[in-house]
Amino acid sequence: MTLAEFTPLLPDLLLLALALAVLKIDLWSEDGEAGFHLTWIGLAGLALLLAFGSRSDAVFADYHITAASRVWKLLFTLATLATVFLSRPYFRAGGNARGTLAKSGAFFGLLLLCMQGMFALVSAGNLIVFYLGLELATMPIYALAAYQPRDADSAEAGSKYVLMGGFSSALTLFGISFLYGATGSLGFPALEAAVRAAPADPALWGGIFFLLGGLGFKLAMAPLHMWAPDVYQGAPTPVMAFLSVASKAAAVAALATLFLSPLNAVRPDLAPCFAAAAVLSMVAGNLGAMRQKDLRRFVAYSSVAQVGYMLLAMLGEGDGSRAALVYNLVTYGVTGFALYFIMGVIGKEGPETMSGLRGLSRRHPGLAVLLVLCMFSLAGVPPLAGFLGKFMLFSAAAAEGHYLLVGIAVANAVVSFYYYMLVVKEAYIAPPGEAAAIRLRPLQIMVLWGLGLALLVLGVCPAPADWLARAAGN
Amino acid sequence: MGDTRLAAFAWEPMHCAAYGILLLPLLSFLINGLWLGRKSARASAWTATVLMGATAALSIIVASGYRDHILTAPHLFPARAALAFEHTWLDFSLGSGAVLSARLGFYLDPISVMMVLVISFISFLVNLYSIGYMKDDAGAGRFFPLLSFFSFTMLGLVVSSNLAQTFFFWELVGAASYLLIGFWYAKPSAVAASKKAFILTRLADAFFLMGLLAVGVNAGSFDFAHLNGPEAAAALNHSVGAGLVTFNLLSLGTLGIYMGAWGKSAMFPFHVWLPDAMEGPTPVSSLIHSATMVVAGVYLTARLYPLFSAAEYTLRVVECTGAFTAVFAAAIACAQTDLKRILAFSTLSQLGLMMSALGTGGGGEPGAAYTASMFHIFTHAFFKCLLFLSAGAVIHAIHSNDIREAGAGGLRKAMPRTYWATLIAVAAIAGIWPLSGFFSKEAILHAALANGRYGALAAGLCTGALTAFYMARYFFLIFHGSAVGSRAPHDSRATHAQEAHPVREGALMTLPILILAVPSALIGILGKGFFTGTVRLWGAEGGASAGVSESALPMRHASSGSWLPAVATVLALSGAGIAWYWYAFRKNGAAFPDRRAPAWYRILAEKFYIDEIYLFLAKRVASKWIAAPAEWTERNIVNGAFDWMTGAVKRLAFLQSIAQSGQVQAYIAVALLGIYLLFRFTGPGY
Amino acid sequence: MNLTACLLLSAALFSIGAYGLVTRRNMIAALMSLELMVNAALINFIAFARFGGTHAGQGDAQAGSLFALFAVAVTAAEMALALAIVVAVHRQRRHLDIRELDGLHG
Repeated sequence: MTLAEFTPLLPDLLLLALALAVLKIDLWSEDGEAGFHLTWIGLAGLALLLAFGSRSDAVFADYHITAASRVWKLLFTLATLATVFLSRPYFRAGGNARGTLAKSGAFFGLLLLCMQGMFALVSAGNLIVFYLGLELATMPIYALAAYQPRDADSAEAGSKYVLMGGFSSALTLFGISFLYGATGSLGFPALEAAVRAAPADPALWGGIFFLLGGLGFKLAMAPLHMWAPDVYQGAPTPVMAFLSVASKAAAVAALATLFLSPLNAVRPDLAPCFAAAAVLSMVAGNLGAMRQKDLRRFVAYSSVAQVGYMLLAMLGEGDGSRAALVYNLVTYGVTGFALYFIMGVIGKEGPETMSGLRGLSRRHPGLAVLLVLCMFSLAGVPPLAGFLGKFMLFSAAAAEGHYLLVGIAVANAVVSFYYYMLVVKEAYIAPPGEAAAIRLRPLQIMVLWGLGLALLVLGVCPAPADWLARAAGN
Repeated sequence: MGDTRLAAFAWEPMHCAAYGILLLPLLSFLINGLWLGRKSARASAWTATVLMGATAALSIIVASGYRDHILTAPHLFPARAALAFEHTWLDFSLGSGAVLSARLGFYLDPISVMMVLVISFISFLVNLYSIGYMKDDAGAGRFFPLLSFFSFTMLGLVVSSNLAQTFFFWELVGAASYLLIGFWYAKPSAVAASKKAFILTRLADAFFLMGLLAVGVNAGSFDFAHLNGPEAAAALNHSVGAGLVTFNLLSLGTLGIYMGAWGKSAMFPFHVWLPDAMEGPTPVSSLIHSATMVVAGVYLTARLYPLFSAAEYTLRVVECTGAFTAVFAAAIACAQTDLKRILAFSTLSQLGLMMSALGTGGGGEPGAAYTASMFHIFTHAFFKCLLFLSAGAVIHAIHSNDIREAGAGGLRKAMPRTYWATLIAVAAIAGIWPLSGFFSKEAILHAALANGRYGALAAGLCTGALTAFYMARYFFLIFHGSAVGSRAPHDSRATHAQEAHPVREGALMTLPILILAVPSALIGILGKGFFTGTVRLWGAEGGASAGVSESALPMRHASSGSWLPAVATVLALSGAGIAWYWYAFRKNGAAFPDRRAPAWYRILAEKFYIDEIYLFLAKRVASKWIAAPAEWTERNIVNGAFDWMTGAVKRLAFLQSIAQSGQVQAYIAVALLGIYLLFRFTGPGY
Repeated sequence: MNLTACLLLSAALFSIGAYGLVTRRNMIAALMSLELMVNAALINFIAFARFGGTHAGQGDAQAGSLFALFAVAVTAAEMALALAIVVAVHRQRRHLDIRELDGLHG
């Protein structure tokens, strides 16, 4: 093998080097700035490499580099990059009312290791790589959830996540053992052939049952979603952002990797199960979000509901479903990060709660408008990105004739609309006292403008996300 | 459908004008919203007005181009419809290889051209009016971009060539109205009203989305040209099962779509948002009620009329909701004392008339029903806008919404131009010959008669009488009212206000009022030919192509309904006469229905025989048996049901929060049990 | 020893582990229960590798053993992380009762 044959693997190798370098950098740099700069420059380079670098597919034993995996990797990279930018003020003294985070090198290093796990997950050609990727994408978050120093909530979030995570990884492992028993191999091609040959094997279904339990946890799909509100609320906001966007995208990628290719033959039998889980997730998420005062907890419930909508795509057939999934993840990421940046801004002086949003329209009208756009997008109002995403999901389900399910989903969207409007209302309520105007840094303004424009552009002109989705579909 | 594209005319001014109609209001929104509105409210007001005026001019170009190139060339355009332009927006692949395209297009046919004209013209006048109205408002810089946006969304809606585009703009109209109704967001009632409007209409839109998906996916296209053809109705007309129930896909799809229209056009029981929407500035109300927002529902129903007329069941629903809303809202309007609320209920009632007219089309005369409804949308837009603008002028002058305070002001002398304009509008909506409302109402009644829908006919006649009564009451109380007994607790405020700001009519606000008075008066006579000719033809052919039998094209006035206009006029005149006698001649103030007013007992004591009859009619019959129960239903049942629904959801949310106990071991147990049950009941059962 | 016996053993282990995880109040005990669940999966892998699974034809016996090895390593790492968090919780609260960890709820 010549060196040139390794070029398709370059992003994965670079990421590993970057992760190790960032982990070490705290030893040399005291203020943590170096870690931040190294991470974002590295990630930006990685994103460019993935977008414009080598386009050739390659197979390294059971590690497959394909166009689809590149798209997923690009998504993970961008989500992590946004998380890194979001986390910056949280490491500055006085940057957040909840307390300053320390050791940015370790923090970013853990994020990057997580990403490495996600990379492995989407490049997996057999269940060993798949399992290792899944675990590597989960474990650093145990530590990250408990990252807020001397904070009881954060430690509680960490311990809850580790218990639920350990439980779900045991489920996954148990499930994989049955899949192995049913098919006698761990490689995806052999798995696919065996599943097609004997789709009614009880051992196979035992495996799918436990595996779905494990993945459902990571996805925060009801009835395995109950950790999400507690962990999201207790974890530092950047970690919550990473959980709700990157980690969720990884879980969706895992679901798609497994159930749209090697286990595709049994997916029609699983349709009622996905439908029930979708309904449960929508209902649980929407009911939960209605009463929330804490924004992180609110995000958790709303993201559970979004998972419910996304599960509709698992009912559809082929490329349309994948395109709908990727498009939704992109738009959800953009919308989510716009909201999280606003949370970061108000978190500088007060708690990141609903009442913390009060008077936002006076303190910074632009931010209030962005918040309205976010909420409209989450609620699916055109011309914002969220509308088109929902439209694609619903039409994927309708095309398969699941009208009842579409009806339930649409009714849920109306309920969700109610609480999204509550958030908008808070921003336009006058605060009790005189609120100081908010000053944004130029970089913040740029990021917020970028996200706001993306919200509009993706909704009106879906071509960029559409391109991503198509690339992920082939 | 023949060649529906306008490729040969691509260079025509009409083609460019079509782009301009959508781009200019959008441009106005962007310029004013991002930049000019913050610099100078006045400059932004004028920019918005000029751009809207230009849009109105372009719409005339499009309309004349449409007349010259398409109407006169039926051999090229047998459906009298064409696309000024169409761009593919995105394609959905539907698994089986089929592709569903959502496009952005500009569809030209009689009703879309008519609506474009109406919307751009009325938006322009409302903009002009708002310059004066919003002059002293701190938020004026925010107001004009939103107004332009509102017009843009509505224009995009009426010209859309397919259901996906319609839905897209449909939701945008909702969002724009949300922002405008809640324009004074410091006022809690405005915030509540905007939220109510948005959430209720979105509830209805949820059904619309379902219907749209069901229809689009099964017919294989979102395009109106396809959906209105016979193949689409045939493709949809079969039963599908969902769980335990089976239903006809055509009925389900059209009903779903109609539910969207139901909510947007505020048919009972979705009507509750509309009166509250008065919390917005008056120019916004006038736009919502005349040319944008609420007529969207009627327009959508008309747009898909051939498809709807293939679905008999849906048409009956359309007819019943329309007829009931017409009478119900008219009855409530009789008992209101808030200027804008009276107008709001009158809009509801008129929309109900239009809907019921569409619904009557299942009989032998689909073309007549369709025509009548579109004709009434057209005339109603003008006189309703005029009513709102003049009401706004009155409110602006007396700083109160209360009809009894207005009556105290001697406004007839202070605002002569507003007085006459209001008189024209009131007579028009009451259906007095030769004003515009007379002709369109007559057309609706004829359609009901010709199609043999006697229930709708009775509802129409009844609504006509009630409308004449409450509109005359409205007029006489404002301009001929007296202070006797009616100005109990509020008068000091009104008087102070008048002393501080002497009543006068601003030129910028009066101009649009005077302009609108002309079409309100004349458009009925002038437009009759267009509607009974062109539009009717389209409706008739569409109905025929969708499998509805079409008997005879010429209007059947002479043979079957020559007595109708006479009866309608007599009813209208007697309604107005009662109001005149009661509120102008007897100077009874607004005693009816206010039982506490002391004047009531004085008149009781006079014991005129004629009074007794009127008393009986007004108080015993009208108030007790119509207006009061209607209001009671409104308050307790309709609002109660919506409250109950939200309450139930909130209680469920409370239960959910108890389940989320914070015990991680409970979470794990739920997860294990949940995933087991999930597989037990939905898994393949191995 | 045959496959059924091994599977029964692993099922028993898994159930005991799940029961312990849901009922034990001490966090360390809960983690030990978790370990039992993982071990049940490991027994499955070895049993399927040794006796062959329910599939027709020749399976890949090495893959199962290999997976078990990887899983042991991963679980060890997971436990290390979990214990670090246990230490952090203990430092703040001076106890390890899982049922007292309910500050976040609703």
